Amino acid sequence: MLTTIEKIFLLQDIDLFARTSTDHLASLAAVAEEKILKEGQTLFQAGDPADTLYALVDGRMRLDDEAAPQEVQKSVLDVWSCLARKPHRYTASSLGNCRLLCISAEELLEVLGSEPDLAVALLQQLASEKT
Amino acid sequence: MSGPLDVLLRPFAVRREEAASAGLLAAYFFLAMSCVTTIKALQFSSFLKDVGVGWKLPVVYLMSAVVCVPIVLLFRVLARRYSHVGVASVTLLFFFVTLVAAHVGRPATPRLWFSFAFFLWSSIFCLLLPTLGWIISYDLYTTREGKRVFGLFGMGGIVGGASGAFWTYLFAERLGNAGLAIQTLFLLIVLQGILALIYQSNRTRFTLHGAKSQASYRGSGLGLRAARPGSAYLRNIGSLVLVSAAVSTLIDLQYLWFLDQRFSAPGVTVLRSSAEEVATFLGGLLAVMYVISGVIQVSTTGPLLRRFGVQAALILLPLTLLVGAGVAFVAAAFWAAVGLRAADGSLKSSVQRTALEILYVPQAGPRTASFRSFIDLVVNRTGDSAGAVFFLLALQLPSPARVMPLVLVGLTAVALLLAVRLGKGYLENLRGSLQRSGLERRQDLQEASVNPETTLANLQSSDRLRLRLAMEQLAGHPGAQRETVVAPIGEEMLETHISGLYRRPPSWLDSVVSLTRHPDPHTAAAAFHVLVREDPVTYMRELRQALASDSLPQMVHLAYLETYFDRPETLVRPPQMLGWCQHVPPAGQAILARIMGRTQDRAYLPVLRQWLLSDDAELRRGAIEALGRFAEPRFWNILVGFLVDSKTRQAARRALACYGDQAVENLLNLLHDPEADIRVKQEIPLVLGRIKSSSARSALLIALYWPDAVVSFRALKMFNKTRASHDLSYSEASFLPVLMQWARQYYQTANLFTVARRKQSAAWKLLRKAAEERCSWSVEKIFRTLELFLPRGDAYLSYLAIQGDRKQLRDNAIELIELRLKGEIKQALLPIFAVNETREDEAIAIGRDLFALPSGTPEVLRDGLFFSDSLVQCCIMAVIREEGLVQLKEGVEHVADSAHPLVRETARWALQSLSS
Repeated sequence: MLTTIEKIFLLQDIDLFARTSTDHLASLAAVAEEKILKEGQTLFQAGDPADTLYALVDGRMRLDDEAAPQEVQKSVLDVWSCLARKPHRYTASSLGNCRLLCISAEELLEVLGSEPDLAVALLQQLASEKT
Repeated sequence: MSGPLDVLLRPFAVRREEAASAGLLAAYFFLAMSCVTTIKALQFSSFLKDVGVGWKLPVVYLMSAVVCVPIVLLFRVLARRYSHVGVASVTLLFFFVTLVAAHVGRPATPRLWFSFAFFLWSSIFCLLLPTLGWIISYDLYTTREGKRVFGLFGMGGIVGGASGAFWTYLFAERLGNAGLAIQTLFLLIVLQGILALIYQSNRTRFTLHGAKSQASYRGSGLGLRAARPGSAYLRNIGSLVLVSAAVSTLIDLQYLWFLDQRFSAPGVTVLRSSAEEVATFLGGLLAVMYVISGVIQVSTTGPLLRRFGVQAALILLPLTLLVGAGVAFVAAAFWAAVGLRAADGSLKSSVQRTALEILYVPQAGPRTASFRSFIDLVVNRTGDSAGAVFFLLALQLPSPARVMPLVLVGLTAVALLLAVRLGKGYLENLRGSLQRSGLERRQDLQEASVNPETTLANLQSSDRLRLRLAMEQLAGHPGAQRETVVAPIGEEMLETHISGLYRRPPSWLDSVVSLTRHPDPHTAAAAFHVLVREDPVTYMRELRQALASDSLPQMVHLAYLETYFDRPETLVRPPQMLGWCQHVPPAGQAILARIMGRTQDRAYLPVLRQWLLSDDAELRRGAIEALGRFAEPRFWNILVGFLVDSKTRQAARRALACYGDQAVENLLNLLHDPEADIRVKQEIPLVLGRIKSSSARSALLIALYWPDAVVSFRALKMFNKTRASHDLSYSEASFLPVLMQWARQYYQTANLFTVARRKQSAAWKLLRKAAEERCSWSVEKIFRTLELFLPRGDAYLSYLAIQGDRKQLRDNAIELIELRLKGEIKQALLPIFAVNETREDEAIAIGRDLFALPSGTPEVLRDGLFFSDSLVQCCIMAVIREEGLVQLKEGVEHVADSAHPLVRETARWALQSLSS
């Protein structure tokens, strides 16, 4: 089982948290839980409620939506659905063994509510990815 | 590793990669100034021998002033149109050819026209030769690079001047004036070669800069129109330069007049000594002046500027000359004139020149650049002419040897006054430049929000914040200021607003009326507030009618009562309110709770206490704020408990602040209580900051020195807020220890950053990021603390400038703070502010010396483990684990009992690995 500091190491390599301060990474790591997926396992299906934020910290996953499927690594999955509390837009399944850090949407929103600077850092990063 | 080259370059802060170009340019200045001093000696010795002093010398001074202006203007036009290196090369060729012509065509017997022509030629030569070097330097270097490398060029020039003068002194009689002219021709050829080498090694930069400068010059004509001084400050600079030039010329002529007297037979103005003898004497004096100048430049100018500032540096020359002129007036002797000449020559080109250059810094820009050329071309020459005229007038009076020093006393006194005024103006200009940049930012923000089109667009927006902003602007009071609406509607008010009946309704009225039906009650209330401001009679009547009934009013009216109405108890009674409580959803109940709090009617206490237990966070917040307004001791602990919940902590801060002075003592007790929750302690400064009393500020000072970083930083923020809102000033001495603490923190984390700099593993990477963040927090804390005692806005605007990307503004900010600080604190803080300019390693080395910080990696990690905050401690322990630094195991064990859960967990994790 990962310690909090190890979770921080893993989170710092994810693009979404590139602008996040180390203290905010620690706040996120404190509420993050580790999840291991075996090859071919499905993490969520399109249409499932997006009640958890998944950060893929190790391994590769396949995302299947109406457009072409894509492979991802070291990224947060379907962050918009999680923030908007809407159903997932695609299905995510593992390609080989994967390690994820999971933060429940409720806890994420609570952390964001108490740390406005973290919310701003995430928004800035999301905006820069969109542009 | 530092080689001999590094040792050589270090005093001038020239980097290795700049060494080749900088060395060539320093060689140029060396040879150019060597030529200049030789030619100067020839110029004066020939003129003195062939013509003498009398009236002709001041006249030739006037002529050279007049001739230099069009020639230099022509040179500027050429420099704008053609490559600067090309122009420089052609100019050198021109000097070479004309000097050959002068050498060959020199008349056998002295001729007045030739003496005048050679004097004028020499004046142009001495003016343009160093200027060529500076033009090329400006092409090659930016301002910041210039600040580093120009010192080397200046030194090259001073050493060259001294060498040329010494050479003349030693060999003038042996080589003869003709030999010195041939030697100058040879040096001109070498200078051509150096120019070619400079061009070869910087071809790309010349192309870039040349294109840029030519583009910027296009259409600017001669630039004299734009050069008019736009401020009293620039006018004062111009006046000082004018008076200084007049003083220098008068001193020069006085000295030559005495020299003429000394070398001439009584009553004869033509020199009896040979020109070579005079050249030897002049060369000797020039050499002494240059040596003194060089020594002063190296040993005095920098320390004087750093320790006593620009004003002291500006005052030094006029003060010395004032005293010297007084002595010369009493003594009326040759040695006094020589002393004055030596003092002027050595201080003017060192301390005075550097101080004058610094004066332009706060005003840097195209206008100032143009003004500077105006100063060089017109003001300096006008000053020369004025000096020559004074000399001519003095010669007409009975005792010129006493009249000239007397005129000098007057002129230097004026220069002294100007220098004092400029010293004060300099500081104000630094502040002004920062304030202007701050005003520009504010104007941009205001224009964006006050613009009517933006307001209308906001009014139609679905964004709640934009809607409220627009309505606040319409209501005429933007921001958090909330004015009270007067409740009673009487005849007076009707009379006042009767004119409203005849007014056309404003165009936005329909939009605002529709917004009163907005689903968010606070947006609707803001719209209703606009309507009340527009037509108080109608809308206050509507409000009274809505609240008069026992049935539940619309939420818009309740929200209006909660937010905008000063005394809600005049419109609602407890039975009504308690009845409504049963029929509204939790969001509405929260509004009712806040209204209850504002009435402070104890009839509401039971229901408010009940709402504290609600599942709905908004209702809990409303109840907390309401209970705080009662300020009853029995609720204190209950309200403190809400400080740890992220959903209620803001409401709890507001509620506890309502207790006023009685809260201060309770909060201090909490702060000192070792059992108290750290999260509660961290909220204490934020509560204290809301209490407007001197006891709260005293308590904040205690919190400022608290070991927990969050507590102290929040206390600092609250101090900033109270100073901004109350216009308070604090004494510098109260905050010096805390400033040193922030400086130490900065250097400590910078030290950690340095050891982590080139490491790539996850632990090192995190440590590097954490250290970088903490460095920037320390800088913020330093400026926040400075803002408490420096003149208001100085530290804040300087912080913005130093964080910004405008180099000039950043320089001004550093300069302003440098002038404001003194002693040890200045020594500790300046390298932090100028860390972008100085080498990072040098800044860290200063910090290590000041605070006795370690330098080896294990020592730095050990130091960080004991003195850093919890997250940095964790990063360090991860690094220790990763690197297997068993020698630091003891340190890890030391923090393993920390109260912080993350530190405890990380320590155990690291120790497991180190033990195995």
